[in-house]
Amino acid sequence: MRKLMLAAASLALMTGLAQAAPADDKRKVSNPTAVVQSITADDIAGILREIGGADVSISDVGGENGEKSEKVVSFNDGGVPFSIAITLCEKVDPGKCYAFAQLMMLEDKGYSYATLNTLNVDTVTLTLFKNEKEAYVGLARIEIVDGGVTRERLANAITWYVVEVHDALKKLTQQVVAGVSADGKTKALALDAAAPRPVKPGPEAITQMTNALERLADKRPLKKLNTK
Amino acid sequence: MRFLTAVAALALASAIAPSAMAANVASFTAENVKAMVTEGGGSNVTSQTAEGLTFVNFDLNGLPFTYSLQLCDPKGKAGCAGILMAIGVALDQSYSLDTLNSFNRDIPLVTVVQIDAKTIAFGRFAVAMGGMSAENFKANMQMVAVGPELFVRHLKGQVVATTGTAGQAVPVSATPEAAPKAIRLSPQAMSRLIDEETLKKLNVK
Repeated sequence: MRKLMLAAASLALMTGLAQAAPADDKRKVSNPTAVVQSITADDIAGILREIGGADVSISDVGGENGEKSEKVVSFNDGGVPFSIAITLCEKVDPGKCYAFAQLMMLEDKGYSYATLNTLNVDTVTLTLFKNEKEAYVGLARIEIVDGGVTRERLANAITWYVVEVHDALKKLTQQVVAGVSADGKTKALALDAAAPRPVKPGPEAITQMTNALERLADKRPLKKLNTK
Repeated sequence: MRFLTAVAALALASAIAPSAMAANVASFTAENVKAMVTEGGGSNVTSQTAEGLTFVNFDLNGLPFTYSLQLCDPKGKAGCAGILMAIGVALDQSYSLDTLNSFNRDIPLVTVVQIDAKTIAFGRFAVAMGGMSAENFKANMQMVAVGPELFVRHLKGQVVATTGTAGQAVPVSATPEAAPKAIRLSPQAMSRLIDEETLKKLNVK
């Protein structure tokens, strides 16, 4: 599966540059030039199945205490669970959603903020962050479809995200980490060669991301920065 | 477009004129980026070549942005598949990486990174491959445009506990005394914001 996605990424990038037809129709998204101006979970799930995502499913997340639930598309690539939440819905146009939030999470094994800062520089489309309270590291990317993008670009954006997550996981595998051992003593800095352990995002992690975007649509103009 | 309008209300006074919804931007060139940036409210729009890359510089609501074209066709015919949109902020005081992390955690629309102790940068990468509309480009543009102001607002919401004279916990705002200053990132700084090895692994460059 992973190889398929990696190959698809290369293919997509080359296609985007050279406008050449994909050599393997199995990896080609249908209706590639169709313009998407608002997004649904079914749209994302359909594209994922076409480009080779495994175990694609749609679920409702949240909805407790009278709050609206959110559609989340889950899939698997190379043993890594990915989640895509449909967001910025209803806020502007009833029945339409203008963005989707991609999130992959892994257990925080004591990765330093410096490590995450370095990875935020090194990666192209990812935003990495730690959630100290919940002890996880998130690898996120919010995509906007507002204004219109093609289905092919959606497929490329998802594929690129997946490829970059795999690459970031490789880099995190060989990080120096510190931590607290079971007896409460601080462990010395050591090279942690164990693979990062992915975890499936819970509702809180999903809604934290999507709420950030939803809240922005409500905010009033802010004070401008001084400029040189 | 409507989401764009809503988000633009965060920080931008200039309205963006709606245009045709064709997703006809299949690659980036200095020319089409300059045109879209201008349509998006940018002023003093110029382009330059340095460090082997093409940069588009402009001001938007008084803030100096720099975009660098990435994943370019070596022959120069097919344009570039990606663009790094960025702005720098010079700090009078350094912020902990913990603070930057909390921004990335809460507002991952744009990524903030520390370049050095006195400089941070906000960046977002957009890809054209497959096709996007000019309106979508401008929606991505707005995500970066609001980054510095969102960061200031985020700082104001950051509180840390300290101990008062009577021993009670006192919330202390992390808001800086002076507002950070937005700066235009140099080509060298822009080059540091993206990793060549990562691009190579994507089999493009």
